[in-house]
Amino acid sequence: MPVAKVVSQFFDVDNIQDLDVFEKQGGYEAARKSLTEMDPSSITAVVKDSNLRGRGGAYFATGVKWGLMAKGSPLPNYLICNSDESEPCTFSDRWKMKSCPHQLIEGMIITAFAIQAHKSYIYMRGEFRDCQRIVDRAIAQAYEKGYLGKGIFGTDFDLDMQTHMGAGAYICGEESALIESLEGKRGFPRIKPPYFPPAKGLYMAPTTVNNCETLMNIPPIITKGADWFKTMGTEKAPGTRCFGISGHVNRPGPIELEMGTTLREIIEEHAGGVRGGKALKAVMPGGLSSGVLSAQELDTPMDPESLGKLGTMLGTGAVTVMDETTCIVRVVLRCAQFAREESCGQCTPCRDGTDWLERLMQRMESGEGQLNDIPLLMDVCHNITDGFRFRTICGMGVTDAFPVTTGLKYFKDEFEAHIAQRGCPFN
Amino acid sequence: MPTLKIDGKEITVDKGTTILQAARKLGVEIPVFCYHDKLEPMGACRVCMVEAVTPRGPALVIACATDASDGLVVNTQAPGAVKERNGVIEYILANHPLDCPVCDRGGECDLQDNTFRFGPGISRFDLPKRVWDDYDMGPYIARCQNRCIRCYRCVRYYTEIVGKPELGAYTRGCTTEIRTFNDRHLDFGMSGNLSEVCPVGALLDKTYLHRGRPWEIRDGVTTCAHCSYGCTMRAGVRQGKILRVKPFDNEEVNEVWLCDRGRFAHTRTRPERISSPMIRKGDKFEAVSWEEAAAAAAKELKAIIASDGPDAIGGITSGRPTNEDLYAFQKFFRAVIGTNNVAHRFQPMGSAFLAAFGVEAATNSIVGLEKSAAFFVIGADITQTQPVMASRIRKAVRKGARFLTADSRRLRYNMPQITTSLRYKSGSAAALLLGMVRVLFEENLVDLAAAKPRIPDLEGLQRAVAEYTLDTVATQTGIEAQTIQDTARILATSNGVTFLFGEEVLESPSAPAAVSALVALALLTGSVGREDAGLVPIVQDCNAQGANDMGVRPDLLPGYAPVADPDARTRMGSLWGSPVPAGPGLGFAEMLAAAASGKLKALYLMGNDLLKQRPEPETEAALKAARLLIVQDLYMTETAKLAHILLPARSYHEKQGTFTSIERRVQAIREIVPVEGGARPVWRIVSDIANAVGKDLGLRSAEGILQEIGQASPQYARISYDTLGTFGKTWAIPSPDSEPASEPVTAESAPVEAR
Amino acid sequence: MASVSETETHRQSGESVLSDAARAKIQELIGRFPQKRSALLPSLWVVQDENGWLSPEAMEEVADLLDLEPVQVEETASFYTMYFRQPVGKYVVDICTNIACMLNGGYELSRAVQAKLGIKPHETTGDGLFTLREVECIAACDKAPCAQINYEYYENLTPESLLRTLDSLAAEAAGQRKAGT
Ligand SMILES: Cc1cc2nc3c(=O)[nH]c(=O)nc-3n(C[C@H](O)[C@H](O)[C@H](O)COP(=O)(O)O)c2cc1C
Ligand code: SF4
Ligand code: FES
Repeated sequence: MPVAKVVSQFFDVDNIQDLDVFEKQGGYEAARKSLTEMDPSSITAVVKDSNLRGRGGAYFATGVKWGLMAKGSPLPNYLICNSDESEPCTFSDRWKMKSCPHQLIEGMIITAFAIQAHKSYIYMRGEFRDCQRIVDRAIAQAYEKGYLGKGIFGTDFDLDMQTHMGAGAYICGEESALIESLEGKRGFPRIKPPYFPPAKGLYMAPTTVNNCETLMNIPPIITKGADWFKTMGTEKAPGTRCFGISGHVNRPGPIELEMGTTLREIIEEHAGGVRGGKALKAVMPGGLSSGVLSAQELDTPMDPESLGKLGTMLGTGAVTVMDETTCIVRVVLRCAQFAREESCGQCTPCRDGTDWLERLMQRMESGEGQLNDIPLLMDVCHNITDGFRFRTICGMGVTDAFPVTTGLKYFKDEFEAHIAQRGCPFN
Repeated sequence: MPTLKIDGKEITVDKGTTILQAARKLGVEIPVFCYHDKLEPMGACRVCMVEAVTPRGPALVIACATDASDGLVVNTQAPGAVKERNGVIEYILANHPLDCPVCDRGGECDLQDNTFRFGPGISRFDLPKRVWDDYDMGPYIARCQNRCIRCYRCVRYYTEIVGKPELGAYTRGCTTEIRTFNDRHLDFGMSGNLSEVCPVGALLDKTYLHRGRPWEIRDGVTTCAHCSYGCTMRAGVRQGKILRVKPFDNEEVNEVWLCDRGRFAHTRTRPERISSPMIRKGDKFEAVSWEEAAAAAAKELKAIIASDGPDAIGGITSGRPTNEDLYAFQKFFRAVIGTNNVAHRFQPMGSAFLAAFGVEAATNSIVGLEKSAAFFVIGADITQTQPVMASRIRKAVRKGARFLTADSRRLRYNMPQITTSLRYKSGSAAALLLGMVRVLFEENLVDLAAAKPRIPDLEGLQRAVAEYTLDTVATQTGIEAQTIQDTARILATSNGVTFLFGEEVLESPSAPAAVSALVALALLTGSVGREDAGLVPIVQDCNAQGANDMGVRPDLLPGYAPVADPDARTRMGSLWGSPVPAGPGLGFAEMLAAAASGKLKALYLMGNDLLKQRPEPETEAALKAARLLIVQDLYMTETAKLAHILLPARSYHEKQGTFTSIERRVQAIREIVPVEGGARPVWRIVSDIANAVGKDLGLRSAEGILQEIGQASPQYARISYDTLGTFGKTWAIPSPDSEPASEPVTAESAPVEAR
Repeated sequence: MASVSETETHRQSGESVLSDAARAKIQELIGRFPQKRSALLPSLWVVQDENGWLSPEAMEEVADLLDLEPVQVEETASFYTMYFRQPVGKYVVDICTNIACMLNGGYELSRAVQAKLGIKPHETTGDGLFTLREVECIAACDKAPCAQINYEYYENLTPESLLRTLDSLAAEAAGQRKAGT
């Protein structure tokens, strides 16, 4: 399948970061049309019809989410763009924001209008200073042009927008933790219910949190329509996904492809195959949280349903390829370390379970593992999450467990080899 | 109202009830760690997981934060739930030290109990435990981070209940620990509650550290004597010594809290107790028997009565003795000596309050505070003086109540939001209040019909405030006219206001004017006669209310009967079998002045260290000028050192009696430790002196006195030790149409008008 | 002036550890949010960018400006790994060691730096020039292995290229020192 051009439609255009250049390509026409010719409910209807599903990783239908905004709240509504992008091996939001910040701003104007929010924030992870400079400049241009601020496009719609930097905490990508962080607090996810963002979000007001890529899909959908959008991707997950390919491949990098493109095509055609002529051993299909798949699953179409059937997920669409020299135990250990490091520390299973998992993996890798450790690892994982039924406040429970459970599912022999040989066979 | 089934038992509960609360109602036990009855649910520990079967199928949910919904079927014993609970407990124990034998919480630890009842019974964790270093959090709370289970209750306690975060969760994940900013000490205020808020032995009462096991301790339930709020507490006693003090849960007063002043009072080092009665010989004291002391006192008193008349004798006490002691004290002066020279150390509020209500007491209740829509706090540093009350108010403010303050000091209220905060120039509280009354009249923001029955002379009031124009008041108080006007308007437009007024109002020379303005404000804003609004004088001593109720005042007999009223005197005289003197007595300050000028020859001080309370040289001069100074106290205070006759008193842990709190709640104190040094109850001491004088006070026991108080004062008519129970009984303010203080109002009907 | 704010002052000393510019910037940030506390993370950035780290005194001052208790500032700062609550080197070298970088030699970068500077991760060189950290994924995985130095990206690194970069930074610092004296 060829490279798709929805989110990345203008990425090749020189200086598209400038508002003038962006406008020459037809930029801000979708926003103008939305504000002057459409109303919030008709915009929401188009997005619902397009069946655009949230690219933050849960693939919840975006139009439906907007429709959940509490009605009649005495407090003002808020829109937040989630550009925290801290999922390991995921880097395409950074690419998108740097490549075409105005498309994000335009998507946010339309979304804010659809949910009737007058304040919006782009929450970026603290490391994204380079993105922040680019996005801030674009926001300033939009203000100057009157596309942000008061009375946008001559309507009575006002919208303020600003970037907001995190400071090093993966969990702040979780929407309610992000909200706490934006409120100036520790990034503790909130219990839902009662704190569903559309009901009680930022400052306890109705809030829509959408991923950066989700929002960048909005302008093309408004311009070209839901039917056009649905010509791409799968029936249940139309459109495209910005995949980010990393690891042992010849051409790592970000790329926009239709939803449902197979893993094999992504790796072999678009990333130039495994580096150095080595054999492919394992892939993380959607960021660290999705765990590992073995080479036998390479023909899986990359869409939420197909990966769901394998017990994993499309997640962030970050494809990380591991060749035959890779020690899976080592990879799983590193994943467990990440989970331990990034648990916010509220939920007992996630806080103390990840600590335990990491230490069990550590001793497995260093050759002190015991046979019993394998069922123990499985059970510790199970007490954190049973498949997608996490026993924790937030979905981090899945991140905690999936690398371990999928590692054991596909590469149990390697774990056993570590125990039997009292050390890492790859050393 | 949803009906649900928990473990096969059906129950119907109010909307908004959680599964946990519903289960507790049914007696179904679900373990919790992070959940605390008084804090917002956080849902962090995950130990309360139960299976909830909804139309969408079964799912594990947290019982502590999931609302009971109609038709829900909950299984607390579902295999998935049991496994999850086991898992959580195993995780927590993984890094928890097994040092229960040396942990103060052993035997009263949530982790022990939950592990015992709900735990897996084994641990598969065979790795080294994580450890933390501790640091000094100050003299009252000991930190043992290794035992912390990260329930965040302490952190939330400070935010929600104290209103001033002092503890934080530091770093994140499995390294999270609880610390103070820059390792500072915790403030002395409400820190002691941490020892119960913490479910394990991570934050401990340092004063009790390694001093006792809970099963060796006998708890004595009593009432705290360290402010007028009247928290119920339990003192843990072993071998006659108080080892620790904890709150005794009392939903109507302190809920589950105590302030540090009350909790740690027993740990303070004190001067030596007076061990026996003593008589001054030159500049030395000589220990004597009780009989000798009584005889000596009687001899001198008789001599003074003979030479200068009974009005040359006076008695001064404080608001700290029990009702029984105070009653005996005033009765001694009136019935034995024959004078109305008896007073406590606080200044009377002035006539407006009495005229309006027939009593001097708060018009609403502590529970009512929580329902208030607006507060106006003036001249009262409530976070310092009544911290537990401040927490109760904070609850209302969290729910959105308006909170307005006025003070000359820069105070911290630690409220989640403050509507308005006024700073007036010292001494100008009355002007501010009168100015606001004027605004109400001026802008016709008044409820005249409601005010009329309580303010007989409305026109007079209107005339009196006329001169307090906004400009005048602005100049006097230093507050902008507009702000004063706005504040008055906020008060007028709130749905009832609770007015709390404290030391800057009550102890100022302009108290009568300020109180009259407050009475007017409350009445004109329709804030009286209801539970969720009213007037609350913030008196300080634990039984300051009782001291007024008992008639320890030159102008009032027990039950607020005016001395000037011949009928009242006759009634009291026939109860006592001895005439009540008619002459107006001297108040507190007047007595000191009269002693200094030589007019008052004898002073009897009960339970107050006057030299400490009034360090001015005049006090010492007055005390030294008296021909006879009888001092009754626990300790050899500076005041006691001046006495001619010194009488040892019992501490409030050594006697039986009652205190009446800020909300008219009569509560018992109990004898929980042995009496030190043969100290006797007050009624016994004054009875012995009376006997030596040749009269019988007719008081034989604390119970008997409370009974007599019931006869003397209508408010206490149905109050007896039998009916007090653990939490006491509240007496009610008479409604305006009933003759003040003539008709007995009972605890059951309290507060009359609020219902 | 009658109205006082609730938490007007908890700071004991009058000395400010923040520059006037930083205070003004924080005031401006406060104005951008519906609730003051939202300005906390950006304010801490202002302070750290100016002072190099977040001293207790600075955090107390931020607390003051934002009407917070100092403990709220400190506990929040401690949650985020990009804030320093201890002094750090002039250059903070954050080497990504998460999966994509690990597969491409992230740990080798770290080991090379450790050998050169004689420090372990999370330590600072004696001359106060470098602090080394091994960090989680920094979202430059297609250009692995990568690092950030003072939160700016350095991508497609090799041990050699990274060490060269450190050398030039050290030279730059030396130049600045000379110019300063
Ligand atoms: C542990 C965790 C981390 C997450 N990190 C991110 C993230 O970095 N970026 C993101 O967009 N969504 C992230 N999410 C998902 C968000 O919670 C949220 O679902 C998403 O921002 C919604 O946007 P969407 O509807 O457009 O997908 C994370 C969720 C979890 C549980
Ligand atoms: S699952 Fe982990 S990260 Fe999420 S709220 Fe619980 S402890 Fe925090
Ligand atoms: S008690 Fe319910 S989660 Fe802790």
